Amino acid sequence: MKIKPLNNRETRTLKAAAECILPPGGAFELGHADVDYLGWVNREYLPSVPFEVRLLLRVILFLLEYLGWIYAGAFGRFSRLPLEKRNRVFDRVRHSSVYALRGFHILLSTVLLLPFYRDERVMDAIGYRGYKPNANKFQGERA
Amino acid sequence: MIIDTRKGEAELRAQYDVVIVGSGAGGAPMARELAAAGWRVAVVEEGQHYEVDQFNRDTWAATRDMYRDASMSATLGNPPVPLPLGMTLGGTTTINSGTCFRTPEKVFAHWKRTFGLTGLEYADMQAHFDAVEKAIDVQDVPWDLMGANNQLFAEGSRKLGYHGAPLRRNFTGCKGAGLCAFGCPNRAKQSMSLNFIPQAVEHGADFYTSARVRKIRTEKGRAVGVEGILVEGRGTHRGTFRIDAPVVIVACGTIYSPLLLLKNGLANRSGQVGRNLRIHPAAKVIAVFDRVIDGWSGVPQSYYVDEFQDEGIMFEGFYVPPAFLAFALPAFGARLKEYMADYSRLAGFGVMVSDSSHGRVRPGVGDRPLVTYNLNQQDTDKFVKGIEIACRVYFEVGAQKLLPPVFGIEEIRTPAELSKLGERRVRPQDLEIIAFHPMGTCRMGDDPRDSVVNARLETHDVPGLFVADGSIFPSSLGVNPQESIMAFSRMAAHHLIAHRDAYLRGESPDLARA
Repeated sequence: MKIKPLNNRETRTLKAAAECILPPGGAFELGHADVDYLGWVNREYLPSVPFEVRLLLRVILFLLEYLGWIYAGAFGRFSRLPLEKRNRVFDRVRHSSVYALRGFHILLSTVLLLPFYRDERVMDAIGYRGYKPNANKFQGERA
Repeated sequence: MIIDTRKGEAELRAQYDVVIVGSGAGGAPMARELAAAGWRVAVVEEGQHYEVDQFNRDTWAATRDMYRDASMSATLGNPPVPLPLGMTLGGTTTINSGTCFRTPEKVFAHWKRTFGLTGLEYADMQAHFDAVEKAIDVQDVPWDLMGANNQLFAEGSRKLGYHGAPLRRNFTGCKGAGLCAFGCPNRAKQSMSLNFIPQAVEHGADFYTSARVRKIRTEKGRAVGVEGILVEGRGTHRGTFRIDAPVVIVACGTIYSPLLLLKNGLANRSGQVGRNLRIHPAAKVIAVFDRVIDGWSGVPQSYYVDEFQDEGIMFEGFYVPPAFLAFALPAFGARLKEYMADYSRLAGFGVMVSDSSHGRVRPGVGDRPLVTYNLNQQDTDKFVKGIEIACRVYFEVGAQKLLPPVFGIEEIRTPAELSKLGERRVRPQDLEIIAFHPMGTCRMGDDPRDSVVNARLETHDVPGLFVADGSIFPSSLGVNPQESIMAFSRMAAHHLIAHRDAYLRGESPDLARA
């Protein structure tokens, strides 16, 4: 079954979220620009997860565009907000007493953190010395 | 033999003495025992078969290929609980932690007292536990394989006077790769695909992979076989199959076995199919140390503390590679990177609760289940106590700070700050939990009015139809269930073997007596 990749609007929102969740610099240099998270989401994640998770991710990306109105006091779409205000949105969502909002944050983080922290350069940067040979290579028969 | 149906005909029809649905901890031992006794055995498995040398060390790829829904299965309720399930030859045993416990004696007593389950004595089961443990090589994890993550917790709990011990696991020649949950790359963890399945094949059993059962066929009220679809990739329908057999064993696990029965309208005169779901919810406590721990090194789950087991609280080691730890930490952006830069200095231990909360499995959209579960306040309070104890253990061995999985408390830096956990009542939705041990949805019992299967795992309502997986347990075991599932499956297999002629003639001696 062919799964539709994220459309332009969804891609724009995800990129704006990635700039917050995977910022370059700080504890180690690598950031969102160093990892093809978008390709991973479209080629790996979306085809692998069940329909309802795909739908939920798309709903989250849609709603996120408007959360700046509530959580950052800014009447612009999330993807057009300055980084500082986008960070504020995430900070408020993460600390929301509404579980669903925190859950949205977890799901969105998952699709960005998974491809980032499975990258061998990132693993090296954080001092992970466990198994990582053949990362990014699939040895078995593709499902 | 193991038959990859993706490479065969689009229409498959066969006849056997018994057809088993699922090749995990329930299906594989059943297949082995029956095949060794001369039964013609077919096992139908929805997942694919991966040889050990095909296991992927890219943990995402392993998750994508060997977990159902790429590990994105979850319960709906308060709070939603991720519920990872295996879907590959060998079932969840291929990707679980490998921890083995016998069903505690007090659990048998509880079943007898509460559910009136007679004819199932703790003493009678010991031979089955012995045989299973021998077959899958159950032994204590040696101290040097535990890794610092488990050793630290052991040291801390000893200092506090708590009872604990190395976990018993199914392994041979473990090298401490730390990849138990992604398919052991060293053939060390003795999942079903390394023992019961090859032994069953040796005795002539056939395992059909990439085949999903949709229908349990009955004639005159008796099970006579299964039908389903052959799947290509992620659920693409490429053909159909039908397997006829006078005995049908459903062993698709606690979520999918009741789903199959409900969708077929079978074995549910009691109304209990899909109800009574228990999941052993678990929470993780992360500790930050000022020295290198390298938590990934060694067997991730190799020590347990059972000091509070009577209260329904168990502690067991856990650790996961960076990609799976990152989203469990209480931060994002630059702050999360700081935590992850300390990855080698992090330690983690799990708090598992023997739940009194319960949930339900219902048919969902298409072939999918709708699983609901609400954590009650009693279990939430157990978690709070367990999390506090885990934090104290870590402080005892010099943790700099703790990251408890409780909303509103991101860090605890001193033992005095543990009072934060008691400042307000923690609600179920304040916890971040996960679950690995679903049980109870086709519960066992003597009374057909409130149970689904009898003590020999045959359904009360449909002669010739058995259930052999975690769904048969009437209550939480309080311990990891894989060994119990294997032992109960073996027990049922021996019952079938003892009454072979009757079952193959289409008779069910136990049900006839009832």
